[in-house]
Amino acid sequence: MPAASTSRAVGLFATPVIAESWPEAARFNQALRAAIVERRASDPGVSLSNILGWQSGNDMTRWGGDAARALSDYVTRRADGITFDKGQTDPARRFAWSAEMWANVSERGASNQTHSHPGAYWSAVYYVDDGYGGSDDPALGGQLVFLDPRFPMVRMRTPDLRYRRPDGSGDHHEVWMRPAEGRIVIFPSWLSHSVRPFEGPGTRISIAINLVTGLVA
Amino acid sequence: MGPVIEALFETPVIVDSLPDAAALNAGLLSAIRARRASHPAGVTRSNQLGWHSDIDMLDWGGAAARALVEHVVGVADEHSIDIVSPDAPRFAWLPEMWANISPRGASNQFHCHAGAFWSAVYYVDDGYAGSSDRRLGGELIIEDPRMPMLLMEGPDLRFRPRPDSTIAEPEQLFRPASGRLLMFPGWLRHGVKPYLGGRERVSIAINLTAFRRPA
Repeated sequence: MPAASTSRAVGLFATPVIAESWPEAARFNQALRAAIVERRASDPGVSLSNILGWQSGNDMTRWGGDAARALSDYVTRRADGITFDKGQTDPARRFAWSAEMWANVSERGASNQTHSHPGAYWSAVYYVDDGYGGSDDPALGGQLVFLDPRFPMVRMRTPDLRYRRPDGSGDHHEVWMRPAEGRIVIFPSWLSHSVRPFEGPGTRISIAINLVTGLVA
Repeated sequence: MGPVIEALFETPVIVDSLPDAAALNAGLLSAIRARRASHPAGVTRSNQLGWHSDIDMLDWGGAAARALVEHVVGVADEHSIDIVSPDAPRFAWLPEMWANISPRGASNQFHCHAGAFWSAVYYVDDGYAGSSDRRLGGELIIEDPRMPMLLMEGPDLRFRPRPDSTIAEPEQLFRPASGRLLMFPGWLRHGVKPYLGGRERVSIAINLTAFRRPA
């Protein structure tokens, strides 16, 4: 294998997923939980990608109080930071975001079917309570799963034969992320994702945000 | 926890240079020119203008062609893994190989190589005659496999996960260089911009189809 020492792989067209802790989690999580629990008592919710569990309407910025606005503002500022507008010619004129926000409450057995968010640019999920009760047992499920946007093409011909990643391992067409209280995950809205069945002992409370883009006049 | 930026689902493009390119290229050039003389019609595929040989160059390209394929197979082995049997891969490669001669004005329409796991292009002579003038064109263009979905919601918006991230355009250009080998997944859509150099460009394409070895 004479080429082994000279060839190098360049990784192109990565799909970014940003995971971070919300600095204001300790300050606002109680209020978020209270607002969601109260809303659930009066709102039958909607049924979209969720299997079991309760999902609110997407107007949480109207009923979620200061805590919801603080979370929405933070995610919106992060979206500003991770987006480049190549069409911006006037420093005062650039794209802006409008946020849709909803809450999810998941008891044992709840999951979300694979879906994406057409019409939005960035989507985010925030975990008020991961529901794991402090356990790190993977058997508790509930992972957020991202699906390779090139799937199934990338696997069609020889499913077991994979392109190597920089660390030498084969590529995967699913990436699983385990939720954690206070964590925000931001990803492109077209990226298909799902949630594995949640088997934790507690009640998971999460908030989803879609950022829709538009030009500032 | 500070931000963790995951770069998921990347598509690999392999860049390599042949160690003994000068000697190899002389052998490849004479074989390709002889084949064009005896088979001037060639075939027409994605190529606009230019001469495109049949895909049996392994049969008529001589020792130089065999050496190039051997090298490409080595690179393919290096950058692939059989996840079920990584130490004793159950797959082998079936190569198809052809030559292209591109005069001024030649280009290739966007296409992909259905069935191939890896596709390779090797530049015997980039045709630029040492010039670095970008107006000579002829770049390989590779299109983001997420297009056009990637741009549907905000045509001017690009991902910039870090403040210092390179802004990635959905078309990536690779300028050919004599002696350079590029490899990419066969399903990855690509083309060649009109080539405007003064000298004929000579390049070789290789498709590697993976097949399961008999047990």
